[in-house]
Amino acid sequence: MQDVDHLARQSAASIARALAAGQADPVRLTEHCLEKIGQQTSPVFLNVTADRALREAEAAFKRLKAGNPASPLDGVPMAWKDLVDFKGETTTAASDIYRNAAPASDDAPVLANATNAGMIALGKVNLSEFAYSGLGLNPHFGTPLNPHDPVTPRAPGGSSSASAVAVASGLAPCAIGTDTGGSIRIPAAFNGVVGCKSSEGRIPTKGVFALSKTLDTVGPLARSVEDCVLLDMVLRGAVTTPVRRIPAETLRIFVPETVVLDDLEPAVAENFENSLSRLERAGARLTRGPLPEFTEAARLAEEAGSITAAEAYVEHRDLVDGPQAGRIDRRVVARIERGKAMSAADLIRLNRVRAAGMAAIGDRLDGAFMVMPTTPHVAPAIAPLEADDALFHRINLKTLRNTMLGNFFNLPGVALPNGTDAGSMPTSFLLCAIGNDDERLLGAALEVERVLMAAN
Amino acid sequence: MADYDLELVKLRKVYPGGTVAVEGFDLRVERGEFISFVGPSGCGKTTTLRMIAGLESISGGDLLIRGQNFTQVPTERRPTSTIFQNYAIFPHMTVRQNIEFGLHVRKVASADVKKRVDSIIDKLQLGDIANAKEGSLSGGQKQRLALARGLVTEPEILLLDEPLGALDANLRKSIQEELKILQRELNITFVFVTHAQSEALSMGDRVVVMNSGKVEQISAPFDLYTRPKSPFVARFIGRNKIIEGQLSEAANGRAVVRTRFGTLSGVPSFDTSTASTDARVLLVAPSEYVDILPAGAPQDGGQTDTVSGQVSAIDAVGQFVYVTVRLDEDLSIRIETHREKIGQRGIEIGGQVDLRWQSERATVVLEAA
Repeated sequence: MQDVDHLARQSAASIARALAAGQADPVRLTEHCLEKIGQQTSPVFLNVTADRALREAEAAFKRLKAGNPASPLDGVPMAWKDLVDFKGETTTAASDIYRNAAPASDDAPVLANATNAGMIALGKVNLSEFAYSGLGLNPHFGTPLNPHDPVTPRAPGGSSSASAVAVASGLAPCAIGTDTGGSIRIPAAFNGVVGCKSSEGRIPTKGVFALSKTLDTVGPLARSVEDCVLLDMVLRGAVTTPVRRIPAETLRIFVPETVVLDDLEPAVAENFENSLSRLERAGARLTRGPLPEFTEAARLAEEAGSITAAEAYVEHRDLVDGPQAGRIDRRVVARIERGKAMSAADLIRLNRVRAAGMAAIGDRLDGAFMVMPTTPHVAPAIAPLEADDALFHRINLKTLRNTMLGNFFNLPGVALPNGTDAGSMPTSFLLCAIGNDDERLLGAALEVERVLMAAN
Repeated sequence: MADYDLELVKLRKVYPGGTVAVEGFDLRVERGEFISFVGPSGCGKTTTLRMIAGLESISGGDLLIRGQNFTQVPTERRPTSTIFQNYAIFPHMTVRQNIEFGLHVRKVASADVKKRVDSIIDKLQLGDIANAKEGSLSGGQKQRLALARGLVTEPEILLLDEPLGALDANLRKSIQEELKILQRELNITFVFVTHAQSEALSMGDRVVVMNSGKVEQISAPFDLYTRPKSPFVARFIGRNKIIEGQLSEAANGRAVVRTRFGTLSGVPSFDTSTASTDARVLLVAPSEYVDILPAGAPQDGGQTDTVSGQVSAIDAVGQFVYVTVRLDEDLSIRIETHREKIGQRGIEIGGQVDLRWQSERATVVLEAA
């Protein structure tokens, strides 16, 4: 299988190199991905654009054969979270309500950019309804299953659940997700892949179904940091990238001891400390200390609610207040309804604390990168979460706890696999920078990945 | 043309951790045969199916389809289709789009796509729901859609991985019948994986029983049921009555067994020339051949072997009655019979009874080789 299957499991950059060198054929690769998608064992793809994919693959084949690739990722297949408009296809946000909505009239700019770069759109994948929850459960179309536990069905993480499952289970080399509270980084963590949350405004969100216009960001889930670097370039429509690897000896790393290290599963804590010592041995300078802004943000979330809830209510008020609310996942309705109860004063307080915090964190880091475990636990089993809404909400909030701080303070982040627990479930290491420092972040992530993956 | 549609030659699967999932699987399947794989979960049946489909790599041995070696060929280049228990239906595509999907992947010309999709929609009676999406389909319709998607590519072998597992019992029964009829009409080879032995026996022309990664027995359902070759098959298949004992002599197609209920005999499933006397064996009598009579009733009908016990329970289910007979403190045997027979023969709880059968109906299986 071995060749094309082996190829399909490589990183996007490796695949692109093989394609450009004429060692592999993008049409064969696309056919293989489509065949595997046809045999998916849980609802990962909601809609497969096989016609489009094969047409794009034929075009890529011609360009590559002529020695004229459209980009460093020409001919690489990709899966798209079903929040992103595809011309002629319905965008469903994995909601039963939009199952039969009118098709989109155009490709979202982010998809158009990838298409112009020669990437192949395989189709649209599942998510938490409206992208609003960190566990990835979907009662309408079923939950895509985490491939790391063949015995007990475990949560894929959300909301870009199937984006991560598609990459981890070999259906697509890379995928697009969105991240408003952790929705790229959490599924990346639970599925053992790399996920990159970009800074607000870096990658275009036009034509992407909104949850929170302020906090929504688009980014890749992939098999390597190099893939994320190239996808960051391609998704913005850029043709070069200024990203440079930052050598470990010049890396400064800050470990906040506030909130994000509380109540970790033992394997998460152990793998995190192990990653830190590897980085230290490689020459990085580590500092640990409190970060009061995190306490303040956590406290305020309890008291005042969240920007996401307020904005999600504005996006979806007609639905959640209307007669169709019963057709929406009750757990999603409950979260959106919290936004309805918020006052203008709550939102203003949140925005002020956010602005002040961004400045303070920038000063505190002063060019250093911040690290934390992406999630405090590995992917939980699904059955208990389905049986108990209170447990679902508790585990959901804990799953989102660390990553949502990054959204609140506009900290771009790269989630990197850093080991597994005793049951082979992946753990993840989150490297963050301040807002709009994405290129330094990616440069540091290239190095951190190398250090974490190196043999002892 | 090759003689066999499907040949597995010493097929083997070892996972990266070293776990052996399948070992030494040999099988030859003729064109148009309906083969069932059955065994407890983890026995390797699904792994074998996935190796045939190209969804799992093959660690050793060969896979031949119509004489051609497909061991190293990727899934999309194999003349197989797979139907999964979850049907793998794309929820945001219509029934028609779901069926077309497989043809797009195999790059069938678009004029041909419509013709083939129309024909399979017609065959599987999906015309009324061709433009519906998954959310509005019943369980049976989803099942037929999955079949349509699998068959539209005109595979030489259809692989079915517990395809009826999600259906309720009544629907399951009727779809089992539909599947058999469809398979005969199409005359293509079906490989059907199930953990339910009754389903395997009723569906398969031949049944492969697997246990712990190995093939225990490959036989037609009736032979599997009446002539098990191993203790595992004897216990796993059917409603066999099993009595442990020691071999006292075996020759000329007859094995005599000493049991704590007396000397019994049956047809040996093993090579009598190599079996040692005193070997531990099982005497296996299919339920249908065991009759129940009041203790000491006169012999009739050529029943040659008898064990005696006390009736400990009688459970009636409609016309059928299940009588539990306690032979001793370690062994009770449950007999299915008719209500009338129990009444006519005066069998009641606490009464002494004889269980009788013809020794040539029983099989003797080696417990430990």
